[in-house]
Amino acid sequence: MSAITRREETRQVEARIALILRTGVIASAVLLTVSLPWIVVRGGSHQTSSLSVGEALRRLPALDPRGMAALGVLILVITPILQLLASAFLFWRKHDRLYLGLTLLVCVIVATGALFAAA
Amino acid sequence: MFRQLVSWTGYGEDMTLTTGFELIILLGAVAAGLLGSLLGLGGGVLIIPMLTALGVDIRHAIAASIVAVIATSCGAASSYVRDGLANIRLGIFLCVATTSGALLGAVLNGVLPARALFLIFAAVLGWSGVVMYRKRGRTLARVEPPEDAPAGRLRLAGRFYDPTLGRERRYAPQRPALGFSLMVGAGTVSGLLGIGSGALKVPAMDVAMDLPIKVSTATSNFMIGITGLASALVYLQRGQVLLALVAPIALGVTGGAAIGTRILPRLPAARLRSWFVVILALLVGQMLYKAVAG
Repeated sequence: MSAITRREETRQVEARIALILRTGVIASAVLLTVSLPWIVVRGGSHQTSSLSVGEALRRLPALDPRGMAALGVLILVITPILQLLASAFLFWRKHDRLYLGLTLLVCVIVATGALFAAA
Repeated sequence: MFRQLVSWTGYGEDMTLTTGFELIILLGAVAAGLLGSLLGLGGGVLIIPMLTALGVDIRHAIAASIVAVIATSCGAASSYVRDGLANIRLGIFLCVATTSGALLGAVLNGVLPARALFLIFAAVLGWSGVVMYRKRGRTLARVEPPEDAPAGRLRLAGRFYDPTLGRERRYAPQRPALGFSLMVGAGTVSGLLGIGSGALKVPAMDVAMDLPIKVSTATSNFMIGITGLASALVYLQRGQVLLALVAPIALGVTGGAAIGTRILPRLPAARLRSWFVVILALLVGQMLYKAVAG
């Protein structure tokens, strides 16, 4: 592959990473905006318990405001995960083993924290 | 007065947040995002003093803030990555350091007493003020590496389009080991205090690694979301993230930051910064008071 095509491909993957980041932020902002009036107006202890990933997923089909807000926050958290995966894809396409390895190492570090905190 | 708006049944348990309180934190988050973007600081360093002043437990404030930090940095990173300003290799290399640090920070957050958190926060806030003040009038006078310079084992060198030169500019990060070590520290502070800790990344990237400021800002934003993710997952799993706090804060800070970017060109930035030193001094005082009085 020539240097120019390679650079062109990098730019394409970079554009895709940018799109992932933008979509994540906008999707979450929309969900939070829609659900916020409900959260603001309905004060009460029932809505202030801590957020858990499992609960947000369970509430998803019901489409209630609390579930939507939880989904908005989850999308925000998922966005950097997709950013990492897209970066891994970029290095894989470029046959850049060193940086593919480092990206996967970052994924392992992030996952370790989540797993240990859950234990 | 604000304490009457919120009644606590204790840390880690349910609490009652009134409509008035929710509105106040929403407006406060907009203000924090707006000020943060005008001054080149993240919203996190401003939202946490505000929440604790309203009587919110500092650990809940930190957990809500880190989610808002992910939102603002991902938004900013998207345009930097699209414009080819963020160095993804450098970002991933340094993310190994910042995510490791962030995990350490999130663990320390669960162990350290609240007073220690206030004290460290006051120190970081003060340092952010110093960094922000020094940034004024900085010029870019770095030596451009030759076209055929050896790439080095880490291949971190890159190029970006510099409109002042009217052409692409090459750069080669220096002292990667030192930059990496400083980034472990920046990541730890980010995980511990729920902030993007941009002020700590400046010495590592601009000074130690000698990067052009545009590249360091762009790459730093690329990293903040991933670093925030590492500690946010720990806080989520620990049950420290409260939906009633995080929803208005994430939305308010991103909205405020978006407004800030729009109006920034029309404002006297230098004068704003001088004023802001006064606000920062007050916030440092407030955090120190909380550290001492408990």
